[in-house]
Amino acid sequence: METNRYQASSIVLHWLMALALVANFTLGVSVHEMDLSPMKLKMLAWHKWAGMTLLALVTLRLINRLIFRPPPPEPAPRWQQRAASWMHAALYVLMFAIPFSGWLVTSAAGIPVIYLNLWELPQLLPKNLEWADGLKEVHKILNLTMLTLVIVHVLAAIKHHFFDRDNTLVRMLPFLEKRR
Amino acid sequence: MKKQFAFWFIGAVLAPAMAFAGNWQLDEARSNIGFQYQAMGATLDGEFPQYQADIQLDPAKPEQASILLDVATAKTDAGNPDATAEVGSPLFFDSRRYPTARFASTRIQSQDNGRYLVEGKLSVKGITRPTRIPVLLKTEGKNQRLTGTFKLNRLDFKIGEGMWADTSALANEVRVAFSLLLTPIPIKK
Repeated sequence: METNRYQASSIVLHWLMALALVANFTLGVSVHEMDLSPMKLKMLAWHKWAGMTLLALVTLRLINRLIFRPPPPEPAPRWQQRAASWMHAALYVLMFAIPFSGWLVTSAAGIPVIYLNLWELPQLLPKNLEWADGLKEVHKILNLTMLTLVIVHVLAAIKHHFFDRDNTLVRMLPFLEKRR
Repeated sequence: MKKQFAFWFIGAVLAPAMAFAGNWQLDEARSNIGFQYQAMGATLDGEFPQYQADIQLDPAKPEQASILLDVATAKTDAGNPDATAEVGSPLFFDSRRYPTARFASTRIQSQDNGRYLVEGKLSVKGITRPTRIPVLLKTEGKNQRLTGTFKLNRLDFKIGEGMWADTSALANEVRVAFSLLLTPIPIKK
């Protein structure tokens, strides 16, 4: 019975990253709207630290995923199973691409990330403000894509739970009652 | 004969002496005044692209030189577009009221191997403070190159008022580095 659930490590990583992604997305949008101030500089630094932490977490998560295969999919039409696979793959790609693109932005802007005020991360690019502007646009588009996909992902989970009444959400949320 | 002697005396002795003791001008294309500061621990490089100098220097007696340097604060490139847009504002240089920052030497002490300690007054944003700048003077052909670095605390000159007086995001210490190429002003005939 338990085999139809995700691994505990997968569940922890999923919800931890879900929370952190939403928080850091919100932080990024807020910073974008702010005028220059010491608070903005601090929030920008926190945003970068969080992004680098998410990059490390998604790396861990990918390794975890390769070690522990996900449980077999719940009964559903073939197209939905295929769509779910593509969705998960796209989310993984974006979870890597978004922090990486942010790292490229700050590198091109000539501002190194000093992780937790302790370690200076390497600059991925030489300083070039035009590239920084272009990369910022890429970072934004990737985020809007992620936002769209996350909404679809959440809607799908809700649909499976409340309309199809299957175990799709249950296997990722251990405290929910298992159905049949 | 006397006239001729006077002509040659001026030509051979006074003119070169005047050239050496005379004014120097900055070759801006081969000079640079930059600065480094830290925002959230990250080091940023800025530049003062516009400045003027009035320099009296006899390379044989650099101790007697006098250096006056005016920097146009409004032109400051703070190394980041957002920072550059902000740096001339009243909270920082207040460039409308204080368009120039000035260094005026008062005393020059010789050290070793072309090194000198230049004492002077640094005036920024209406605040004047005594400042000592160690420099290196080197002959480059007919020209002289003056290089040096020094540190200052931006808050000593109110560069960053109000919320920017907080040094937890924007560090107080600023490192200024300059390399000035002085070329002799040709004597008018």
